[in-house]
Amino acid sequence: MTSPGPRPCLEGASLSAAFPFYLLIDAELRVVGGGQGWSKLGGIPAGPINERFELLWPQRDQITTHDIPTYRREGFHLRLRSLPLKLRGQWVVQDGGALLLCSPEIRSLSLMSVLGLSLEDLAPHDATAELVTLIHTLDVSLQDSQELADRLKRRRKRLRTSMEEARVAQEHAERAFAARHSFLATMSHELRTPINGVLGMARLLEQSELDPEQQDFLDALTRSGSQLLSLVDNILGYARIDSGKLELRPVWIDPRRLAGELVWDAADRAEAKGLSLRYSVCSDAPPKVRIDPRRVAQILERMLSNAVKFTHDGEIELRIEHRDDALRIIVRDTGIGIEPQALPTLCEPFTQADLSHTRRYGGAGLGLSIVSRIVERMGGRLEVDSCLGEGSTFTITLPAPARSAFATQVQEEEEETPSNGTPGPNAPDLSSLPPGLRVLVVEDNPVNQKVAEATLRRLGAQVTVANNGLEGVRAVRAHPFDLVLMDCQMPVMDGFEATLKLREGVAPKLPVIALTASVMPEDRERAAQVGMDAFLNKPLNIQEFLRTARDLLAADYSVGAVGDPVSSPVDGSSEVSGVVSG
Amino acid sequence: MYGIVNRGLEELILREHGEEVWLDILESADVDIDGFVSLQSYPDALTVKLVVAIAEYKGMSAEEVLIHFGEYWTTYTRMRGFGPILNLEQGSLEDVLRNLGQMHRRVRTSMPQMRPPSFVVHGPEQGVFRIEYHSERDGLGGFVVGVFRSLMRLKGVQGEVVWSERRSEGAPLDVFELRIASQRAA
Repeated sequence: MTSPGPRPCLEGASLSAAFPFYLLIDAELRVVGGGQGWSKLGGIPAGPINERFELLWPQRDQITTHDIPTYRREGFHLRLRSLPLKLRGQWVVQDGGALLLCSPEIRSLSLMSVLGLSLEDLAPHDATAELVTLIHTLDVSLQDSQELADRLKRRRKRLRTSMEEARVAQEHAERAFAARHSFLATMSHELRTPINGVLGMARLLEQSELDPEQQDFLDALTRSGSQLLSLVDNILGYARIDSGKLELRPVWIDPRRLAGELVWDAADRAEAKGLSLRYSVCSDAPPKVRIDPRRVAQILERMLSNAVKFTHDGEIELRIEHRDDALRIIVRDTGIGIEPQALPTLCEPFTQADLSHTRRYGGAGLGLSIVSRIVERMGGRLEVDSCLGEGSTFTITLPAPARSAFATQVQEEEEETPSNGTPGPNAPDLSSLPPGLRVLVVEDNPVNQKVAEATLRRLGAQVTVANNGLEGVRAVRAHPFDLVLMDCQMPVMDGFEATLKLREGVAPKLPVIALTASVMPEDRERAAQVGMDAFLNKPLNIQEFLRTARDLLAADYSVGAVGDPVSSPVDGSSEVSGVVSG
Repeated sequence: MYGIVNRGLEELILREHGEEVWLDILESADVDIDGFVSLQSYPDALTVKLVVAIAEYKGMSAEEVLIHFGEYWTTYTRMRGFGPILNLEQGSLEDVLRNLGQMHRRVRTSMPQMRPPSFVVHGPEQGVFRIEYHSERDGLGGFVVGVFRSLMRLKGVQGEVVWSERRSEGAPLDVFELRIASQRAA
């Protein structure tokens, strides 16, 4: 005989521990007992099951005695009518009734709290606790995602606001910039136009018969006019640099040509003060370096001007060297020197070493500031070594890649001439136009008309004056001309439009030189766009005009000499050097 | 480490110092994440970097930051609705302590990559619970100290938490003692 073995038997406390929410039903379908879990829900819902519970599944009106055995393999879903609680479980049929082994159908921790239940009230095998935990954790993660989305939305909104603010600020800045630029352009024109008249008239007077006293007056007038022009140029130059409008146009150029006639102009001024000016370019300088000659000229002009201005006796030396792909411009003087405490602010705008200097030497204190800005823009550096009462040495180092002699020969065709138009110390000087040259001056300002007319007549030209662009175009239609000097800003029709008309058919090839008080780069560009052949600034520099006219007309000119550079070598080397004045 | 931990750190800093500081901490920890999602798993190294960056900002040691964070953890999880899962609201301190394993087991269903610690609770004997802490991870003992402190506070129990045995000092496992001084009436 074999032992019957263990029989499954769950009763009392064991049944309640495994199914805390079980229900015991009698043959009359009345709830007559249940598990310990019901104690948390107000007790066992004793009584007719269909009165205590609503049947949710299977889809029947109510529970019948027939259904229990029929659907015992299916899950039953019930809803307790007295509480918001659903149960799910299955029937176990037994003698005299049935057991509904069920557990609460809970999907949220909040419902659990409402019912006064805790996860500990559920059986350990019941996955409801894990399900509730999972659902809650998912819910928390969704909150995180929502919060992240909200955060991104807020940041996007802030970003949009910032972009809008930036756009408005940019518009303001652009408007302010345009206004400033327009002011500069206007001021440039309006200031230079009368100065042009003053200096032009002075130049004409110079060629008249004057007694010594009148000559003194005229010298003072010319000197004051020139100083005023220099001041205006510095202020406008600084303003342009300060507006960020400093373009660089590097070209391959012989470093020996960089100083150009600036040295001779400075030498003239030095000579007038009884100073000598020594100039040299080191013998091992490469044949070509890449640099913007216009900017170098601006630097040299101001450095030499300062040196002459602040030196009363002794000498000034300009030396140009090249090493390690950098150009070194050394300007040494035996002038008044600079106090050590003034050195740190020397390059700040509107600053001179001593306020008394402003009164004594004049100027706006912008020269070095402009130089330092240009040097900075070119990627170079400016160094000062000075001793009060003994003089100063300014060393400017500018990046300037060198090209070897061989490469220079090969690439000669790439070379560009310095855009400042300076011819170098050996360039021939010019003194007149071809006799009888027919020149049309298109200019609205009566003083400038007179200056131009008188100057050109003295150079041998036949001059016709038109008051604006329209009159100029009509004049060209009516009469033959060899050359036109065209102002740019004029009433009725400006010089740009007039040139366009000429180019469109009236006189496509007639040489037109812009002569304007405007020094704005865009005017120069516009002049080229409309077909002007050259661009000269007021006041008219006669030598510059003669050279330009010669190039445009390819005519013969008389050649004279205004200065003879001394070609004797310094230090026994083959340097381009010499004492040019003093 | 699941994102819920990093979110807790974030919430702690936001609450105590504001968003700018939290953004600074993220930057200093070199964590390029806009925010954490609780159910997403992140590298442990990221959490370590955050703790180190917070320690630097607060001028505290990393262990002090972890204790501080542990003290906040109970508040944070209750705030996010996890109280019933921890059975924090209904049980006594002992119930909560003895439920820690069960709680971690349940949470693991939602976070399958979780490597939860387990706890063996002894006592109380003469007012001292002795709790063995078994974890694959090193260095989180400070966090456990903070959590126990906050649980004692939550349940109105006065006393101290002592980290009596440390793995870092050669002990076979970390052991904490909750020394109960008194318990106010609930």
